[in-house]
Amino acid sequence: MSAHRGSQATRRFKLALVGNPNVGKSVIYNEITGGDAWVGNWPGTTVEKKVGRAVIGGVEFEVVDLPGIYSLSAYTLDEEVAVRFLVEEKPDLVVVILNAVNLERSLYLLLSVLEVGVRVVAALNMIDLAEGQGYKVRSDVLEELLGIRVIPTVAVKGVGIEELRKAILDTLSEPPSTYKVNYGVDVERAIEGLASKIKGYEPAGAKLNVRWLASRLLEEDKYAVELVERLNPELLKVAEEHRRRIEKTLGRPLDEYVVERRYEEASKIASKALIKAGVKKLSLTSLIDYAVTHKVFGIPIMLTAVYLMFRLAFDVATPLCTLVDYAFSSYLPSLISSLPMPEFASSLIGDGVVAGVGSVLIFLPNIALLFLALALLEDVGYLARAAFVVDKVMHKLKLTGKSIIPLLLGFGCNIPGVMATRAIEDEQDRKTTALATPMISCAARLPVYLVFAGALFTAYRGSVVFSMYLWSVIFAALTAIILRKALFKGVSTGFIIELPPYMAPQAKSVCFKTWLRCKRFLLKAGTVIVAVVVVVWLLSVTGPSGYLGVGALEDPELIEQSWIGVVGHWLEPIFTPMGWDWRASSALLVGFLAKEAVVGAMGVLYGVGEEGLSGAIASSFTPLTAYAYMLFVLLYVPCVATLATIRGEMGFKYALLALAYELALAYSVAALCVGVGHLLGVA
Amino acid sequence: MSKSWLRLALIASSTIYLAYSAVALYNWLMDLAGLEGLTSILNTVTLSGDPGSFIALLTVGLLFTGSVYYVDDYKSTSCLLVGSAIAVALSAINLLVGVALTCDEAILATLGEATSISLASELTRLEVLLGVIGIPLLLYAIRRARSLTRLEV
Repeated sequence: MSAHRGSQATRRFKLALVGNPNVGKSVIYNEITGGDAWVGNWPGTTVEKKVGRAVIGGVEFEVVDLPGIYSLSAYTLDEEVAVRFLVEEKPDLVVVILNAVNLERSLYLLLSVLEVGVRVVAALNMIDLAEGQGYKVRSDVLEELLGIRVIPTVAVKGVGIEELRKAILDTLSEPPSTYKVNYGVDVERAIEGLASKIKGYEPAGAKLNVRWLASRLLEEDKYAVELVERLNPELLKVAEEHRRRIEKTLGRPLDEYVVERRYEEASKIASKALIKAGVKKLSLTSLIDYAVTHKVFGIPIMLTAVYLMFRLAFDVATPLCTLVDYAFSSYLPSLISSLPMPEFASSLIGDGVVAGVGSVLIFLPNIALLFLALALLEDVGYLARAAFVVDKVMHKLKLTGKSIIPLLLGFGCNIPGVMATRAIEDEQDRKTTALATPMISCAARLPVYLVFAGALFTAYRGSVVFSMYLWSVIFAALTAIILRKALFKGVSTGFIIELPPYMAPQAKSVCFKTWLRCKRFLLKAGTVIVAVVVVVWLLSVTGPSGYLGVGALEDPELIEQSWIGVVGHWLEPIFTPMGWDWRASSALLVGFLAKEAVVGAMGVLYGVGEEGLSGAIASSFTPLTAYAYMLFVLLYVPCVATLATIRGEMGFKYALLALAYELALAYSVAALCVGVGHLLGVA
Repeated sequence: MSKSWLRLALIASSTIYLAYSAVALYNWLMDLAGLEGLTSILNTVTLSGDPGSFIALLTVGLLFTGSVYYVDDYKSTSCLLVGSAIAVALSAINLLVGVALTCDEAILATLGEATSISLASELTRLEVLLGVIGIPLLLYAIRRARSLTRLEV
């Protein structure tokens, strides 16, 4: 043991976290690594494996959080990722997280992992919820039956995490699991025969678990077939002979039989470990879900939740916005002007950086409260219900139910939304969703809506901003319909989502998520936005005739001679039908880099900073042209980073298609909005 | 609370919420048309006039109606629990908004950008009062939910 510990100190061990979707893997990952993996009370939060580092008792671990799976059958991409990792990367230890509320299903996965022949520790999570439902789960019985350490945990409260760390360390010095599910005489004989043949072809040092491989081969598992084909294709014929013979005896498909036996084993173990302490006719989750997922009440409840979220974010944040506004419009400019520096530098910092960044940061309180509300809804478990409620409508609009999660992620940022489409198996569905996701209004567009809604729709600014989100859903659905009819023809696949139990939100988790999202916004404000406003400032004080001086920022005639003025005037005729001046047109160009930058650029271009931006907008736009501008910002190219993600996920052709489609759509919708408004006599 | 009193309270609440949602929609449409809507009752209670309020009030009204309509205790309690929770949340958010806007005026006055501080109209909105009335309904719904989901040992 001491010698082993000695070697432990010199190498890094590989530790994998495996479990069903929404079992608390990411919470445990964060607890172990101190990492910042996204945790959500809905299935499918982890769309690809995440890697972190942990030091437990002086021993270093590389911790891998695998996507949530139900088995190791490689039916889905997530399962394939997990099984490939377990077999090819050969982790030193696997922590299987069991759901105490649904023990049988978790045990099925645990048995599958044990069969691979790796060291396993089980974390029996959500024991508090199981107890609330009248069940007591005996971890000691599970340990005895499975021959592994089983640690009861309530991960969201940090209960059992220290014990889990200790178990990980202790198990590291023990041999791998030898647990076997007994499949009956005939199958066992076939497995043994096949295993001995595989062993003969196994390359030196491969350390394959031949029993596991043989059993998987008999099940015709896609990954096992691929592995054995590499060793010797002849083995596939031998496996086929065995399978035919056994299926003849059983009178049914072998894979069905094997799954059933494994479930029987899981069920047998679960029945021994579970003690029913009482009977509960109805759970609180089912009671609430009747109304929340109701076909009539479901959608109004969802819209109400969104409305309350927006009121909290936009109206409650008002005094905080006023304070930030004061800091950037009065305090900092007077501080900068009092510093002894050249006019050029003073203007660059004051009129460029402070005015530009300030006009974006003024919305930080709104965005922070919006993120807080979103984190609360997510942790309570409502977002999964929202997905469920909307699914029926989405399906009618030819958008697959599985698209809901990427689309919901898109409300935060379109990039993870586009990336999350990887979890959609059907290629047509995946591409449709990836191209529809940029229609979803991400947090970066919010500052633009807020400044316009605040300037021209004072009384109804919450509703106007809310309408942008409604439009974004409508246009995402319309885009999906168009793509489905024109490009990606075929039938959409169904939607299965596991509705998690409602949980009281944990302050730590909610604050952590809010902080993570705000940090991303602040980083962007401190990097991209600063860079953009500096470039816009430079283009505003210089022109074809050379340096115009900082006076250009306050002189409407002089700024028209600047580079930005030249480009703006070149763009102006394109946007004349919408009634936007050259400054508004130029700001749209900047939005290609980051949508928040539109506001910052406007601050510089109107020469008012964030202090007088509302007034400048109110005098340059009418409510109608402002609404059309907001629609344009909603629909035209999300940002360069999202386009790059689409290119990475689908290729250059589709990125170009997205660019052209979104520009054409944004222009047509904005022009239509103004046209219809004029016809109706709206100014 | 006896069953008949509860039914009566729910029928009254659902009617008020549904009627108020119609008023909110009417006010919004009037405002879009540039006309005066029903903005207050006796110049003391403020009435909403935006589509968001309309949806929220309609939702509460529908859920209260559902809690009267369904005979099944489980369905009725579910509607009552969610409906009263939304009614109280709506009231709480309006109170928060009212406090926030009043604080904003105080900040502006401190910074010399406003001359007086007045209480925000959100504090006297009808949904604030209705939400306060909804608290006993929420408490009753929680008690019913507890008894329906009780663990029987």
